[in-house]
Amino acid sequence: MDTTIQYDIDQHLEEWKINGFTIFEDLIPLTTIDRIREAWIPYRDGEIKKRDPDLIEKRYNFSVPFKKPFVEPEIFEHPAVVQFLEKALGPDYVWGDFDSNTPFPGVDYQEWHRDTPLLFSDLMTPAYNIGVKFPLVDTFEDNGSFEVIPSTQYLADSALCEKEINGRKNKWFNNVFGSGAEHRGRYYPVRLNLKKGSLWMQDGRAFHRGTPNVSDHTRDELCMSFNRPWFSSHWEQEEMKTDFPQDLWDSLSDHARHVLRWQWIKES
Amino acid sequence: MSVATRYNVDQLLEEYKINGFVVFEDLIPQEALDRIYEAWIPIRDREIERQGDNPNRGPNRYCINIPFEHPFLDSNIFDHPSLVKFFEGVLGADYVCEHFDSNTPFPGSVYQKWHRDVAMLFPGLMTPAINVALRIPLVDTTEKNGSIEVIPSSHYIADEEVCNKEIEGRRGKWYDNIFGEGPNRKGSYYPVRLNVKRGSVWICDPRVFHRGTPNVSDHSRDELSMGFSRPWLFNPWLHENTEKYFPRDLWNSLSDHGRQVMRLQRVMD
Repeated sequence: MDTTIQYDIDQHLEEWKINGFTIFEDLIPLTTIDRIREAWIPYRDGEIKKRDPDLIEKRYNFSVPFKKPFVEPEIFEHPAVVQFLEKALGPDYVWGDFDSNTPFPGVDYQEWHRDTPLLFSDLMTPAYNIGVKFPLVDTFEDNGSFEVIPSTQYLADSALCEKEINGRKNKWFNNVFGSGAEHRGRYYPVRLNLKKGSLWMQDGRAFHRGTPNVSDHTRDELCMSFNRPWFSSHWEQEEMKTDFPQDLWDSLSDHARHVLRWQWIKES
Repeated sequence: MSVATRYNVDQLLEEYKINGFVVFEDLIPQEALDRIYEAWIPIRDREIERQGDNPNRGPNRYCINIPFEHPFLDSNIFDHPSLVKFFEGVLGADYVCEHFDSNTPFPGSVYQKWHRDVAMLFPGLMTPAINVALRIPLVDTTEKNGSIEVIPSSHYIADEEVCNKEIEGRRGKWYDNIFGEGPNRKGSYYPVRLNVKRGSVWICDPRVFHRGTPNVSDHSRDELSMGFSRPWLFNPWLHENTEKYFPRDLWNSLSDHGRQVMRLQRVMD
């Protein structure tokens, strides 16, 4: 584990609490990312083949198997990651989902969205879910890097979050911020152009969207989702298989097992 | 459908929001309870035998899971229009059923410790309701057979000095230290006993401070408990029970709304 870089955790927490995201640069050795990417591409392509060939998609979201080399203690148990998550979510945080974002060349804008629902209408609460994301390639404006609107994680007004248009209430965020390249109102989105090897932490409530990939390659990113122990997207109940490898489990530290305690070990 | 079919749900919601619990009188016909009770006794007795000398809720007190099957899972109860309106008012329209279990103190059971059934989401922060428990007594409950004792309006208390009190350098849920242990009382608090008639149901916010009391009668006080929650609440029971158990024919018999409420349950192929 590369712990040569010292991160100022309190500074990152402050940024994250204010902006709704923070970036840990150069946290993952490039050799580790390459190993993950090498395993990821054939897995990803296999999953694409399973999908309806008539359905033309260019932006994929796949579950990532809880297996080596994707489950990497060098990343999720990195001291800076652990310290950050303990302070942000409390020491009993748990790893829920593991998925991915892959926009292919030719993909268009996503709609503005949040990744996690508010707990209660009109009530701002502290964070309960953090997406810990790491790109497998350099990300930049050409290959569809993420666009986020800083400090929007605490917006809870139902008049905004469940806006009524033509008598229907819904999450009409494109109506608020503008659709595609069109901008509405005065808002201040920023692009997150991350280098391969960086990792970013995102409060899933901050408004964000994927952007067009006009490059010649895919922008693959894996996303580990960590929760307070009472929060669930029910992904782990609907999607998770009883296939966490026993040998991987045996190789983990006590802390890593605690974080992964919702996993079901494969029965031998 | 039920003995009493008209409830002033807005009034009951107001009581619930203020007190942390409410009683729907005469909601279930006695013959429906007879059917449930008859099916329940053999399940209960098998489980009691399995638990042996160490009942899971203290001396002579049992918590036993209820199968998601007829006659326990009854649309006339959990999908009763007044209850649906009530649950929607408390939890929002997308609420889900989370678990189904029971509380049964037998003669010889003692006071439980004062407790809550769900943890606060964030230390120090009061929030609207997270989940509710629908309690269905299968017998009349009285002070003799160990009816539940609750402290009204205590569901919104979130102060860390109370909820995670420090005693001799250790922080914990020392509620007996606050309210008094067993028959002893500490401080000036105002608990009430919920002596609910068979046929009525009561609904409580699991954050309200409560406890079981001694059963000094000659019979068990059997009560079923269905939990409903906001859809994002992690459900340890569902997570641990990975087998499919919800009968397909029962699923097919439910209304669209009944299926929506049961959508997290694992339906058999």
